[in-house]
Amino acid sequence: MLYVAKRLAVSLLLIWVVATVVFMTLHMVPGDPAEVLLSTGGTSPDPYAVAELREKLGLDRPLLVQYAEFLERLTRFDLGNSLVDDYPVAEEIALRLPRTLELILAGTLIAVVIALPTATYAALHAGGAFDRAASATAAVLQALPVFVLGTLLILLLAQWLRWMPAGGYVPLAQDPGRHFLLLLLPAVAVAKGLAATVFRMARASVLDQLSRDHVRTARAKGLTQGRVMRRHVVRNAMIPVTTVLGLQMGTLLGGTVLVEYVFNWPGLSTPLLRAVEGRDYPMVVGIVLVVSGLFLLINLVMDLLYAVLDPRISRS
Amino acid sequence: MKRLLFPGALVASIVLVALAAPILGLPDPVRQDVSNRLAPYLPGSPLGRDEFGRDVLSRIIWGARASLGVAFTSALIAGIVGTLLGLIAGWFRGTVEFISVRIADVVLCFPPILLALLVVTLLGPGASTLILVLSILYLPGFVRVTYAEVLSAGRQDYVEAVRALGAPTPRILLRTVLPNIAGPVLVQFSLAVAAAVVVESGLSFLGLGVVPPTPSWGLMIRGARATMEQAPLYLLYPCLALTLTILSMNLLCDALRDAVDRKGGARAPRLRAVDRILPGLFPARDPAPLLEVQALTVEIATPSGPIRPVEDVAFTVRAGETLAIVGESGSGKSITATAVMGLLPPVAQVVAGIARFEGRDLLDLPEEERRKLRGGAIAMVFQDPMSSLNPVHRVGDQVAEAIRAHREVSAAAASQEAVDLLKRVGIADPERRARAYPHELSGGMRQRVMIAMAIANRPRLLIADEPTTALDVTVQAGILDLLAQLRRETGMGVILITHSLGVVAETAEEVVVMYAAQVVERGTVAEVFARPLHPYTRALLAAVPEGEAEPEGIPGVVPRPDSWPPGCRFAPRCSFATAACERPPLLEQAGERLVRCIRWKELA
Amino acid sequence: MALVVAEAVEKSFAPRGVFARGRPVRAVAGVDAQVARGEALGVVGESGSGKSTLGRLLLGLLDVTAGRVRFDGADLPKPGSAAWKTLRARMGIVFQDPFGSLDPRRSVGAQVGDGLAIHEGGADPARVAALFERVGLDPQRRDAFPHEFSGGQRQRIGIARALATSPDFLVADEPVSALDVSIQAQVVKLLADLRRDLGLAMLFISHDLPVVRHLCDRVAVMYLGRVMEEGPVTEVFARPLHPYTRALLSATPMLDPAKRATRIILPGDPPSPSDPPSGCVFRTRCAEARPECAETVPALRDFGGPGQRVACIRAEEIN
Repeated sequence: MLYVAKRLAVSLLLIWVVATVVFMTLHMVPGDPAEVLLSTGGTSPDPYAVAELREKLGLDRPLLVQYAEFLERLTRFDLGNSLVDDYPVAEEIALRLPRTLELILAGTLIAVVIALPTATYAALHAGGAFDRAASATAAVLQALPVFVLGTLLILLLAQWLRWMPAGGYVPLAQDPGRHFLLLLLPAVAVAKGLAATVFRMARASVLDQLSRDHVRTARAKGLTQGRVMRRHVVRNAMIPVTTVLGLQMGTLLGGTVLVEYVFNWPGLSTPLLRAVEGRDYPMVVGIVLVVSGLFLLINLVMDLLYAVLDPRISRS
Repeated sequence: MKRLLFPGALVASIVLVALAAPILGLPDPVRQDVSNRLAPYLPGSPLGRDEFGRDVLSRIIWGARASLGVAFTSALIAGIVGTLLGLIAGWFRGTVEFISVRIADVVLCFPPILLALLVVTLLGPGASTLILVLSILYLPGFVRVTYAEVLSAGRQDYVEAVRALGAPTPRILLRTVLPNIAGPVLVQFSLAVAAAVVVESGLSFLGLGVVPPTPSWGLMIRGARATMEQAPLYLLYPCLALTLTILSMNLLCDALRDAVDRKGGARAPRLRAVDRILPGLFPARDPAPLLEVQALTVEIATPSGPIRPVEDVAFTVRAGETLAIVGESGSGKSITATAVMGLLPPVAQVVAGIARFEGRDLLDLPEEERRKLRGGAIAMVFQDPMSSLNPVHRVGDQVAEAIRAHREVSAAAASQEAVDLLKRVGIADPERRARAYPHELSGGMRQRVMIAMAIANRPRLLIADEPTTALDVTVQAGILDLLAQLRRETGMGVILITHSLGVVAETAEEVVVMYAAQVVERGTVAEVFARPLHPYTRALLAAVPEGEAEPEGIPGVVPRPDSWPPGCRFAPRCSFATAACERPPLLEQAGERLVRCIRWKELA
Repeated sequence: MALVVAEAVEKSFAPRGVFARGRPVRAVAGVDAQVARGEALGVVGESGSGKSTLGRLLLGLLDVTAGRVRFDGADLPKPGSAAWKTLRARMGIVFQDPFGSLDPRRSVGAQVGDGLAIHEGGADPARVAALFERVGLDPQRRDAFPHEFSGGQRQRIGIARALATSPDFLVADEPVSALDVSIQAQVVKLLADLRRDLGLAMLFISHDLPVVRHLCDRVAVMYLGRVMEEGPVTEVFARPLHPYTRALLSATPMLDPAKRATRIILPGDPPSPSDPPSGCVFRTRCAEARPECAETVPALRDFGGPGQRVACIRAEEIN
C-alpha cells in the first residue's frame, strides 16, 4: 500500500514537472516569445500582431503570475483557446482523445497477443526454424518505420489488391462493421513496433529464466514441463517485459501520430499537426500535456503491475 | 567479432556512399524538370524522375546525407554531453548526480515525437531544430547508461585497487573507468543514431523536419504518396532505402551489444563442473546398493569440439549412508550429480554409463518416468539457496508445489503439510514463514526451505550439491546437523558433493575423490583420510590448514577440461610422477579401496 | 608504538536516496585495534560482522564516523586529500575476488606497475619484472591480460600490485576464500613469506579460522561490528573464552576426529546491523546470556592468557 501511495505521489510530481517544463519552453527560447511564434523565415512580424498575441497569451504580465495562472487553469482542465479559431483546446481534445485511445488500445492488444506466445514458443525452441523465422521477422519489423509500414499497407492492400479501404473513420454508432474494418490497418501499424520489441524482450527473458537455478529446482521437484513453464518460467519472464512495455509506450504514442496521419484517422494528430504548422501554441501545449500525462499514467499502471508480479518490489 | 563484420560493412558502405555524394557525378537533386515528370527511366536517371522531374537516384543518395548527417551529429552531441554528465554524476555523486539524473528523467517523461513537435512549433522546422531536438531526446540514454556503468564499475575491486594506490581522479576516470564502460556507451551511440534516423524521417514525412527542397527520405515518401497510384515505385525506393539503413544499423547494434556482453560472459566461470572417472570395477557389497553408477561419461559440445567434464565415473550409495564426492572446482563432481538427476543442460549429454537406482537404470528411463522420480524418490538440494528458490512465489507454496507434483492431495492439505515440513527442518514460526518470499528469509533459512522441499515426498536418496558452501560456518554447522538428523530418522541415502574435506570428515562414511573428471580414489572416509593412497588425495589433505603442520600447496593449476594431460591427469603437479605416468593409469583395486595411480604400492 | 592504531572507530552507512528510510547501518561499532610493524593481525567473523569495513577504515579508504585511526603516529588524512594520496604508497590492499580485482582491459604488467607510475613517475620494467618474480610469476607474461591467468595466479598479481610501492602495511581481505584448497595453501605461504621477508604489518581478514591460525600472530573475533575476543592466536584457539568464539571454533569442520569439539549450534539468525540488540550484541543467540547482558555493552578487558582480552561480563563465571 505504501508503495502504491509513493508511486502515485511520484506520478503527480512528474505531471507537475512536465507541465512546468512545457510552460518554460516558450520562455526559454531566445527573444520575445510572441515574436518567435509569429516569425516565419527571416521577415520580422507585424508589431501590432505581436502586441495582440502577447496580450492574448498573457505574456505582458510577470512570469510568476503567468505560471501560477497556468497551473491554476490546468487544475480545471482549462487549456486555453486555439490561436487560430479561438475554439477551446480542452474541448477539441475531449472530442479527439477517445479515437486515439481506441487506436492505442487496439494496437497494444494486437501486439501483446501476437508477440507473447510467439516469443515463448521461439525461446523454448531457440535456434530452430520457427525461432529464426520469428526473430528475423521481428528484426525487419523493428527496422520498418511506422509510416513506411502504413504507406506500404495502403499501397498493397488498398491500392493494388483493393481488399481494404485506404483509411478514414466512421463512428462506431453509425456502422460498427465499417468502424472496425477501418480500425484494423492503423491498429496493425501501431502494433508493429511494440510487437517487435515485446517479442525480442520476452524471448530473451524466457531464455534467461530457463537457465536460472530456480527452474532447475522446479524440475528437480518433479514438476511437469507445463507447470515448470507456467509457474516458474513465463511468470517470472513477464516481470522485465512489463517494464519494457511501459517504456515503449512513449514510442508508441509518437508512432500513433504518424499512423493517424497516414490513415486519416481523426484522432489527436490532426489538430496537433495543424497546430504545429500554424504555430498554434496553446493547442500544441494542450495536446503535449495530455499525451505526456497519458504516458505517465500508463507507466504508473505498469509499475503497479510490476509490483504485483514481483513481490521483492512491493514488500521490501 | 565475426557477427560485427556484415552489418558493420553494410553501415559503412551506406555512410561512404552518403559522404561521397558530391563526387559521384549525380544530377542535381533539386533541379526540377517538369517535362519529365514521373518518367520511369531516362538516360542518366536509372530510377527515373519524381513528381517535379527531379532525379530519384540522386535524391536517395543525397537524402542519405541529410538523414545520416542529422542523426550522427545529434547522437554525437548527446553522446559527448551525456557521457560526461553520467561520468561526473556516477563518480562524484551528491548534487551533480541528483541534477543530471533528474534532468534525464524529465526528458524521459515525454513521448519523443511529442517533445520534438513542441520544439518545432517554437523554432520552426529545419535541420538545426532537428539536431537540437534529437540531441535532447538521446541525452538521457547516455546519462543513464554511463551513470549506471560508472556506479557498477565503481563497485569493482579493480577500481578500488587503483584508488587505494592513490591514483588521481582523472587518471582513474580516464584509464580505468572509461575503457570499461566504452562498450555500453558505444552500443548506446549506435542505438541513438538508428533511432534518430527513424525520428528524422518521421518528422520529415509529416513535413516538419527537413525543409524542402532539400532531399530527405521522409520527404520523398511524403511526396510519392500523392502519386502512389501512377508511380508506386517512387514510393518503394525511399521506403526500401530507409528500412535497409535502419535494419543494418539495428543489426550492428545487436552485434555490438553481444560483443560487449561477451566480456562479461568470459569473466564468469566458463563451466559449472568438471569430470571424473571411475572404471567399472565393482566389489559386490552387502546390503543392495540404493544407487549404483557405472562408467558414467558426460560430453559437452563446445565450439572447439566436445569436452568430457565427467569420464567413466562409478560409485555406489547404500540406504542410510552418506557418500561424499569431493574435488576442487572443475573436477566434475556437480555435473556427475546433475547427470544422475537428469537435469543436465541441453548442451551436455550422457554418452555412456548406467545409474541403477533400486534396480532401474535412470539413464535409460523415459522422461516422464524420470520426472516422477525427481522430487519423489530422489531429491536434490543445491548450493545457492537464494537463486534456487523462485523469487516471486511464497516459500510455503513452493514446498506445497513439490508435494502436489507427486501426490493427489488438496491444496489446503498440501499447505498444511508444507508448514509441518518447515517446522521439521527447524524453522521457527513456520506458519508465518510459509507466507514469506525468499528474499525475506536469511541464507540459512532459505537452505532449510530447500531441504524441506527435498524431503517433502520422503525421498530414498538425497543429493546435496555443496549445500553449505554459500553459508557462514556457524550456519553450515546447523544445516549439516539437520541433514544428519534427517538421514538417521528416514534412513535415506545421501550423496554430499563438497570441496571441503572437513565437511566430508565430519559427515560422510564413504568418499569419492575426483580430479579432472575422473575418480582418483574411493573408500571409507576413515581409511582414505588416515592413509591416503593417491598422491592427489595426500596433497589435498596436506593443503588443509589444520594442526601444527604448515599447510602445503599443490604446485601448478587444475587443468582445463579442453586440455587434460595425456597420461595421469595429476602427473604435471605430482611430486612422485615418473616417465611411466605418461600413460593413462587405471583405477585399481587396493584392498577395499580403489585408486588410480600406478605407483600406489610403492608409495603406500 | 604500533604502526596502525585504531581507537574506538565507528562506521555507519546512511541509507541513500531521496526516499530512503530506515536507520543507518552501523557496520563497525567502536573497535580498538593495533597492528605493529612485522605483525599480522587476523580478523575473523561471519558475513555482516564488519570485518571488511574495519580493514578499509584502517587503510583510510573509508572515513570514520567516529573515533580515529593513526598510522605511524599521525592521524590518517581525509580521503582524497594530497597527503592521503601520498600515504597510499605506504599501504596496500589485496582483494577476495581474483576475477573482479583486476581490470579486464589492461595488461597485468601495467596494473602491477600502477603504484610506481602514480608515486614514482613511471614504472621501471625491471622493477615490475622483479615484482613478478617475487610473487612467483613468470615476468615474461606481464603483457598478458587477466583472463589468461588462473584464480591463484591472479591473486599473485593482485599481491604484486599491492607490493609495488614497498608498503609498510598490507590489508588482505579474504585473499584465499575464493580459491581451491590446493591453491589456497600456495597463496597463504606466499603471504607468510612476504611478511617475514619484508617485515610487513598485515591485517588478514578471513572467515576461515585455521588459515588465520597459521598466518597470524594475533586474532580479533568480530560479531555485528564489535570485537568479541582478541589475543594471540595460540591462546585464543587453544582456550576460547567468549561464547561466540567457542561456537565459531566448534562449527569449523575438522579432518582429525580427535580434534572435533561438540558442535555448538547457534539458534536463530544474526540480527540486522541496522537494529542491533542492546547491551551485548551476541546475547540473542548466546546460551550463557542473562538479563544483565542486555543492559551494558561489555568492554573488551584483559582476561585469560597473556594478551588475551574478551568482551563478556560473564567471562569469569563461564570459564
